[in-house]
Amino acid sequence: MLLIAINYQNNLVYGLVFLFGTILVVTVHLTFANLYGLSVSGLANTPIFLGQEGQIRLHLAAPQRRRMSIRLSAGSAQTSGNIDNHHREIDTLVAVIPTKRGRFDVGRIRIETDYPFGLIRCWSWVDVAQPLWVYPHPKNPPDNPTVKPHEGTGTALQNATDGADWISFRSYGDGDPIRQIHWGSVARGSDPQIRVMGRATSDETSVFDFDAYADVDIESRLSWLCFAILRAHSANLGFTLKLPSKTLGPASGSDHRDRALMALARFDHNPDIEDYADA
Amino acid sequence: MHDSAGIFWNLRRLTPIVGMLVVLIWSLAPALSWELPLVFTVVVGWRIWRTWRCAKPISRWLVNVSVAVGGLGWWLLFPSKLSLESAVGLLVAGVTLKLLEASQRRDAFVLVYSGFLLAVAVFLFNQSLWQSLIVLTAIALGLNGLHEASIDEISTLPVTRKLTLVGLTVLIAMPITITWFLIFPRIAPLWAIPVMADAARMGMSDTLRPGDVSRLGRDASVAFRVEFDGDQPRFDDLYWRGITLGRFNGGVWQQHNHLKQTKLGSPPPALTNGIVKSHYTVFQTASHRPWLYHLEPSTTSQSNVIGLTDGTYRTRWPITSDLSVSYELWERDATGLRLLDNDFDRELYFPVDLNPRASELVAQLMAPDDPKTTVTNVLKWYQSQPFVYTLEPSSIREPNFVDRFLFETQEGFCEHFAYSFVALMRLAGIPARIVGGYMGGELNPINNTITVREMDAHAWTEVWLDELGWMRVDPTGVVAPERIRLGSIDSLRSSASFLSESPLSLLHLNDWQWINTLRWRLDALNYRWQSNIMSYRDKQQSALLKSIIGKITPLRILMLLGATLLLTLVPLMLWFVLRGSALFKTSQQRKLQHIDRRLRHCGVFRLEGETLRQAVKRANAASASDLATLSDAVNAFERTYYAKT
Repeated sequence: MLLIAINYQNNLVYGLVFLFGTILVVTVHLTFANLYGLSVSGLANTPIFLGQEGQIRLHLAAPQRRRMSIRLSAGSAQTSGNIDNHHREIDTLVAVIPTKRGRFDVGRIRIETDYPFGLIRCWSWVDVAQPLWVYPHPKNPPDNPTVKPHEGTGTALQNATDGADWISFRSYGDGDPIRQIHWGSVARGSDPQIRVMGRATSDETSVFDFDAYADVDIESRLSWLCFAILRAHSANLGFTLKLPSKTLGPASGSDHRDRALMALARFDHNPDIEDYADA
Repeated sequence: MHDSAGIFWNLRRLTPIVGMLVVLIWSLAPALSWELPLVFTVVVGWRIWRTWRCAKPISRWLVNVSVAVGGLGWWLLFPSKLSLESAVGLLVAGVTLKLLEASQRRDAFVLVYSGFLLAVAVFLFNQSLWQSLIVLTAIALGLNGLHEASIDEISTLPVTRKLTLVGLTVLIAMPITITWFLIFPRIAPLWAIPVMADAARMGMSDTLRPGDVSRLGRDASVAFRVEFDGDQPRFDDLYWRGITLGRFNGGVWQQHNHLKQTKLGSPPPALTNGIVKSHYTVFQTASHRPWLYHLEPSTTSQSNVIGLTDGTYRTRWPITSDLSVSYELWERDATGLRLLDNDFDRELYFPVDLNPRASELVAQLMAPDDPKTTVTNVLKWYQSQPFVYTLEPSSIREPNFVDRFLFETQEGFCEHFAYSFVALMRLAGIPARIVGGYMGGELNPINNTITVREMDAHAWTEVWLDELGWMRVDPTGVVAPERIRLGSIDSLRSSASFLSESPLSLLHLNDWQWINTLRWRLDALNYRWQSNIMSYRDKQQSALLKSIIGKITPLRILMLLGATLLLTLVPLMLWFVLRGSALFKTSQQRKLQHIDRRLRHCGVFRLEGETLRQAVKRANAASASDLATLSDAVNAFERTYYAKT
């Protein structure tokens, strides 16, 4: 364009060239300002099973002013958002599909914007350091004589609101403890629901033993254990998980289940796996 | 959060971009052709309809067919492929096709960037103040389009904010733009550039074929403006010479191929004892022709002007941007310039056998050995015949144009009269040539400048008389004296084709005095634009810079640039950085900060999400001394903070 201005000796074209150039420079500042002062923090991520899509939860806050068209990307995963609500902060999710059991670190997240005119791209890297735990993929174990996932022969439930296990919902009545209110239903606009909690009991608890499967690779064993835990839990059965380094249970309930699944996820992430390798 | 896939184009994104393109492409219409803008407008309408209906992008083969049709159309529309207008035409055709198939976000940027190029193209053809304002509006629309393309469709940014953003960007960019405009060195063209192949579209052409000038008579656009320093010549003396057409070639009059250059700077010998009557400056608009319009006899000492032996002036390159040239106007009696060209034998050629009746007439009217009387006789003959001056004569296509015009149709305008007159002169053995230029102009009483429009285009003749040199003879003045006496506006306005190519011109409303005054004021404004902005060249540049920064040194120029940056970008950045810092905090936020500080003194760091009360409780555990006042402060804060809601 400058060549056109020079060769045609055209002052207005000169003017246009400088105007475009300056708009570009101003845009550099505007785009930078769109990222400047933006804070990104990682939130605790919900663990997933291997093969599922996981979500990295991020909290973006910019109390000073609106931020438009913020793009976040981790690897091939992308999301975008505007911080223009009243509170000037949003939670956003980056979808990822981990390919391995264990701790998934999203790594550095690229945060970029080309707002307002798409002429300039400004980006930065943030490391939120919030791991996403990946449970093993649950797999039905083959018929193995050493595995005896006992079918529960009966459960007795204390139909009370205390206990560690969620059983069902009922409507809120006066005097119900606030801690048991299922806030999710309130947020959806329906009447408050009370979580009916109970304790699952079983006359017999299964033992899921890592070492019960000989000559099978670790990941398959973990997948089977995972499946066994889930099945036991859905049947409200207690179980004991025996890993080379630790034993969990016997116990029941979702806390126990989560602990057990987490133990599977953390398997060989822990220093205690070294003990197993020595054995 | 949303998924970026899906249909990108919606009306909100489409409207500003097509708005920009429509404005710019229609601004180019006078220089190109009407076909392209019309096609573009149809495509715009179609595209808006499709977008409104949320239709899918058109199929691949339809795109290919359109490209083929568009390419063919361009090929047919622009006979000369390497000219400026064909290049611009190609750009317009490309934009049209892009709009046809645009489906992604990227296409929005391609369209707007092409629009920026179109804005440059517009300025190559028209540089008036109005055009500049229109282009600026188009650029703002384009920026708005870029902005719309950069935000999600779900965003709820209010319109006022969008407009503020674009306005603010342009506003902040302006001072730096102006500074660069002022300080950027104006250098000579680096290489020859494609020029308009068909400049006759926009003004005088270098060939005269019956019918050419009449089109100009319908065009009110400004050819040039003149400012006199000293006495203005009489109106009927305002013959603005541009070119001489002395070569007769197959029914067409052309300029001679090799006109020698004269020495510039010093006036020719015969002029040295003449008197300079007045000085005047001509501000020419971009004509894409090299001719400089001037009165006769004039001299100039400007270095970018070349004088030719036929007494005309030109520039080295075609005039692609408004240009000012200052001349000295000499006494009318000073005949030096007319004697320059003594190579007049070539001004004698005219085929004898083409027009037998004209040859007969010449034999009757010719006074042997007395060219002066012959000229008078012929002019008298013109006067005696019932010639009609009209801009819409019946067209004559036969090669015996002179016979047909003089004895059969007898209606025409300046070029018909000039053509036939020069033919008669040459048949009589008197050297003669046609002069192309403008006649008259309109005096603007607001600023005393003369505005010469395309409709003032005129052709007259010069004949060589041994004792006088080249003499101006205007046969049109004999037949239609009112054209010369009154000028084109008053003499032509009753005709149907008057300004038919400028339907919006205020000249149509010439009867109302207040509109005339308004028109003059606008014209005066435009003149200031032209004389100050457009003619800003190295001389004006150094003068202006000196008046701003004293001496022109690199350091001072850098300081000027730095000062502009300091006044625009630095405040912008400071505003962004400081906003949200203590300076801009509300009193509530400041109180909260204060309490936090006191808590920290007690050894309590408030955790994220922890309320003040919870933190104070922990402070309690840490057994702080001034706990009571702290709780009071918290209570006071909460009272005022929650009282609002």
